[in-house]
Amino acid sequence: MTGYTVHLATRNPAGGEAQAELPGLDNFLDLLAEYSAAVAGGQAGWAATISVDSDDPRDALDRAHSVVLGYAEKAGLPHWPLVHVEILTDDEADRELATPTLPDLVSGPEIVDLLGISRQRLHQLRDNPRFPEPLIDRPGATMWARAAIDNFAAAWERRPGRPRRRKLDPAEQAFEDQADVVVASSLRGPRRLGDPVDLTGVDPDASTAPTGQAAADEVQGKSSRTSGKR
Amino acid sequence: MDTDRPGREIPKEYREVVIDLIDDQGWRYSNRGKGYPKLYPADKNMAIITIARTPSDSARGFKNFVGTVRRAGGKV
Repeated sequence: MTGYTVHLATRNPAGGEAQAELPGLDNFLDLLAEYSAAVAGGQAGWAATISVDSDDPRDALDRAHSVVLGYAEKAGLPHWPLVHVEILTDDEADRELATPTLPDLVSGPEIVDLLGISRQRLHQLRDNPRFPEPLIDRPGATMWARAAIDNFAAAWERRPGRPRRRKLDPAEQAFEDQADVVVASSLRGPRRLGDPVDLTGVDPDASTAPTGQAAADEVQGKSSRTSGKR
Repeated sequence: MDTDRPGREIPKEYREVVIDLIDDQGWRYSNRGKGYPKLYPADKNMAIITIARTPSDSARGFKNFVGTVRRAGGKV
């Protein structure tokens, strides 16, 4: 003989409050006492979980169905349609109960320790699309699944030092070069608010603009001359 | 909403689960009137769980009770 755990649930087709009292549940529980029953119910539906022994799961299910519906009627419970039927061996039910209902969680400070990084680096990593989203993200309580952090750590390519500067495309490079020239020209001498900016060397055609290095050389020459006067 | 505290009206192992649910998970417990004690899940869409005062088979009955609590959203 094998022990089976059978769960049957009904639902009130007319709706109703789940936590409004349903008369007859106490009597229902008494009638099912020999089946180690657990029952729940309200005006939205009622349910029972019972244990039966049988050599065959189909027979166990038939018996449980007959017992539960028979005693429900005897206890005066409404005859609502069944919406959920589930059968497990007792061993399988025990395995499910042994499974934690919450995953193993880690907090920000724990991740800092796990990855050997600073808190600031953790904040940066959260912008990384490969970094896991937290399962809980409330003010003062941000938690990640430990397994997700472990997976990230295993796949994370860590490179020491500052990240390399991305190579700019031609349009971005031209814009950068022009910006360098503007900055360089603004450093040529004391200026007051409202003074025109000297755009000497700035070519509206970006492709022919002086390079950032040229502007830097110009600034360098200016600063050398300035320091020579001292 | 106000909640009762479970006492000797239910077995000790049930009591420990109920205390955890009402203290840490927002559930309510009621032992008023003539009927069996009732456990109200924090999720108002979940039905009231009835607890027998004298469960016949403590081992299997308790497991079925815990399974019912889990179905109603309890972390047990």
